[in-house]
Amino acid sequence: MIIEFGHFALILALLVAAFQTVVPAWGARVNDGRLMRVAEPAAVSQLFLLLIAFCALMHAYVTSDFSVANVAINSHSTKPLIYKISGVWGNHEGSMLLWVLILALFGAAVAVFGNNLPATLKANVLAVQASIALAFLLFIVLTSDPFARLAQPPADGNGLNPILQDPALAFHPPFLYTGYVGFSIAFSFAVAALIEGRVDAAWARWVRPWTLAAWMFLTIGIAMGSWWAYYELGWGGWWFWDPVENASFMPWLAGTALLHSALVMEKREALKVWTILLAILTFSLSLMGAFIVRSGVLTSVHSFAVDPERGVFILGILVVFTGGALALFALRAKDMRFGGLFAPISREGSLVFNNLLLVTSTATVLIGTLYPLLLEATTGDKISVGPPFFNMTFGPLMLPLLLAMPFGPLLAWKRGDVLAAAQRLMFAAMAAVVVLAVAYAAFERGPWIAPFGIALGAFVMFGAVTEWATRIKLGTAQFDEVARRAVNLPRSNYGTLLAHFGIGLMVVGIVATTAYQQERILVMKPGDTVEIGGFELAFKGAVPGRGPNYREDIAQFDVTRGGAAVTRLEPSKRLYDAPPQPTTESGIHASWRGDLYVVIGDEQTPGSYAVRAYFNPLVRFIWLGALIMFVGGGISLSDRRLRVGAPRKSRRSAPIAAE
Amino acid sequence: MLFWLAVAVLAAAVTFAVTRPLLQDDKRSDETSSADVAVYKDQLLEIVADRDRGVMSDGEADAARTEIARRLLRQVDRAGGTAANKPGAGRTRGVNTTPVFFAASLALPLASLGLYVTYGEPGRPAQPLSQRLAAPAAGASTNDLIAKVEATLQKNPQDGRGWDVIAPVYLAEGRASDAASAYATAMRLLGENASRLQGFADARIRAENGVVPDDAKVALKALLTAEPQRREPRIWLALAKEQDGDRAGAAADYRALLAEAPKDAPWRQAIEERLQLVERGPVADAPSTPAKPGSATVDARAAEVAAMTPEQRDAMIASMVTGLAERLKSEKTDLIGWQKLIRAYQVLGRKDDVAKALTDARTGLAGDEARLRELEDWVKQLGLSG
Repeated sequence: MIIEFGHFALILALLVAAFQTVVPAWGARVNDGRLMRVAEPAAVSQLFLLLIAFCALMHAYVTSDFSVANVAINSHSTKPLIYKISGVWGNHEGSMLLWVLILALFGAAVAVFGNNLPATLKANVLAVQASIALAFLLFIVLTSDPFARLAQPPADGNGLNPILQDPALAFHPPFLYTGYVGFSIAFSFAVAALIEGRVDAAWARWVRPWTLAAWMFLTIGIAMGSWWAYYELGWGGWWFWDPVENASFMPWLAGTALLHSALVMEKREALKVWTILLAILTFSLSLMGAFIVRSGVLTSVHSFAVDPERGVFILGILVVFTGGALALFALRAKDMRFGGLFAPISREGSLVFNNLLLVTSTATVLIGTLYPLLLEATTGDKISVGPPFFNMTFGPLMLPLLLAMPFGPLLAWKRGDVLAAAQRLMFAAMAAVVVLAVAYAAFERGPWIAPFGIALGAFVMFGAVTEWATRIKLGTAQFDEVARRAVNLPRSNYGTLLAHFGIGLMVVGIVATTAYQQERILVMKPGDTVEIGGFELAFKGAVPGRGPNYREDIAQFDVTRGGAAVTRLEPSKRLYDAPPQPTTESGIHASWRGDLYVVIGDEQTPGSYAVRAYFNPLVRFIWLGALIMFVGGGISLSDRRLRVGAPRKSRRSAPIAAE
Repeated sequence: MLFWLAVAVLAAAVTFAVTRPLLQDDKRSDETSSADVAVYKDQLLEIVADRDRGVMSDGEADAARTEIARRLLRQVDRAGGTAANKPGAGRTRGVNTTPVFFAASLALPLASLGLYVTYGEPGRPAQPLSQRLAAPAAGASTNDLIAKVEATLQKNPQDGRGWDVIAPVYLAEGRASDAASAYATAMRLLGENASRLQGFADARIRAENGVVPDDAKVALKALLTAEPQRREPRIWLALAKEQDGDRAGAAADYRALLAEAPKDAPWRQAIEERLQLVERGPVADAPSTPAKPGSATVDARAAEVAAMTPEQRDAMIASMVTGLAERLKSEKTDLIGWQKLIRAYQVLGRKDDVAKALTDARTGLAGDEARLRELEDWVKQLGLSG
């Protein structure tokens, strides 16, 4: 009964979404308060109903109810409880249900917390939000029903793909989806502003924190996915420029741009039109990500043609929302009043620079991701655009962005002084030069350019600290004054410091591990040793083991460094019971210098195994950087103040460039 | 009943919650511009706070205040202008909401019920695994029984009898690799016997799509040692020779088999055909393409069914046929399924069922011209009338 009740709740949610799309928008048009007010209970009801549906499906998973087709196909009775739960969103139908649930969560949050929003804006925002929910609920009910039943429940389910049975991946989709879907709020606000033909002062005040929240979750979601790929897939890599990864990376890049332009808008009422456009593009990229991942075009354009129902549906959603919003933008944007003015060299100007580079790099990734698909669709040729393309295009775009990054926060609003900023960054630049020298000394081999990359990352880190030091007058004021300033400094500034510092740390990790990774591939018999990254690895042999739903061969390696025992690594090869698939579990020894990473392959002759060992210098910095960015976002989010940017007064009546 | 009650309560509660504002007073004031004014006032307060914390200098605070004051004035001007142009704009009651209320109150529950009845299976109970395992064995479906035995084996994997019971069921369900490993476990725990050896060999061969793998050969030889009078293992071993390229050896074995075979043995013809193929030349890879009538795989299945007791065999066939018929009730357009079912009834001699299944198939496929024609052609070939 619970299943069917959940199914009914899902369908009722669909109708409530239709109601919430039509009535409040109509109310906003004819300026009727009662019609507009239905949006609030409707948004909350939608969340309530989808929560019922989601819990019903989760209940079916936890109790292994194989009369539900979705459970029979994706679960198995012997799976540990945590993977029964994560199995709910480990498949197409369940993940779409999670998607609309998070969408409803955001909509309800606007309804409940949006008391200070003008009534028409709120009604329009909730109507647009509901129209997105309506589209996806239709998609679920018509093509991807998670509650379809089986007449003859099978004895047991097919099981969840073993490589997905992993703690990091269990919680990767909810974070990622919270990020994707969070941008829907910015989108709904943008479309509502276009419908109204004006941008309220409350607009940016709302869009900035919601965008920040979405960005935080997307950051940590992508980082979790990358970390999972690193230790689970057993290739020793952390990013593959795979279309699925790019699908989440593009909204992140556009979302980062949106975050910065929304900041300008809140503080200075400038860049209004641009921010609206970015909000539309960011969410459209999220939708495109859903399309790419969910439609099956990735495996092959032809598999999309074989079962087009779902793919065409999502493509339709993508076209309607992106196309509709952009058409509205084209129609209305010219009527929007432009906001504040500022000089090219100013905080605003630096953020425009940041936006241009981020949007260009988004476009680069977009081309690299879609071009092979388009080519295959038109000519049938299968090509793969791999890391070389992205390294050649994306890398150079990041260079000026990273170089300019420390300057931005040091420039004043409205009109800035780039020389003064450069002077303040002297210390950071000198520290980066020291890092450059140290990098050359530490890594005698490797490409000549790599130490410069590490120094650049260090420059970004030191630059972030410089900005903070300048604000608290470190080194120029008394200690009391410095301490007082450090305590009084708004949390939003600490957020900026941490986010920028995290980026720098990540750059250092990326460059070091890309340029200086060491790799050994060999066949080892028990008793063999291999030397890598300053460690000696001694293979002791492999023993069989048994987990809750898999059998494994566990290889044992004793790790020593200069004769002293360091650790024992136990990489393994697992064979899952259902579905019977092998996975590799890597053995990783993490240290500040880098990771020692060992995986075993097939048994070659009895007792001897193919072994791949890597040393990945500073690889942890990548995820540590992402974590610091996440924390920085959280600290900034906890700062509920309105953001006001004080303009620099003009010394004389200098001509001011327009936006 | 309880289900419909719950559905009704949910639909009523949600409908009431979302339509309630439609009956309330429209007590809205024109707050669009006042909301903007509130934001600017908040920002002015924020500047004072920032200055007091030392985040902004006095000069910066002054500049920021001037700017925001300018925006505030502009907003107040505009609000005044709007109010002058549209007197009482905020309190206009644009529409009569009572009809909206009634329309929504009816449409929400009725449409959701209608859609649900179309897509859902109203009142169908949940079937959690624990409940299926606890249900009495009589009347339970094959799948439930398998689930039961699997649950027992999960708890007690050393229970050889359990593996012995489930192995042939797996084989009948087409889960050949599961059957092979179940037979292997049963042999490890309880020792080898003829039926386990044969089951293991059959399962392995079937898992390999008709190719006889090495472990199956070992089992077949062991079976032959235990019961030298058996013929199927010899047929399989001859076939294995053929598959390994030992054509002369295979031919010799086939001849030996034919020499011993009774004149009216039903498998005689199949062996003769194979012998001809082997002698003719190197085109004899037929056994690796499964399920051609008369091919080795079909013979093997027949042999395997032959190994069962008559009761087992009947029960197995009946359950398979019933399962198929059940499935076709919901999947009416499955042409191959219908063909299988009609064949099965025909073989079992259930003439009434043949006619009924044929009618059902024709109704089921009614919308699909191509498949319907295919069905009719097939019926003609089969020599079935009507």
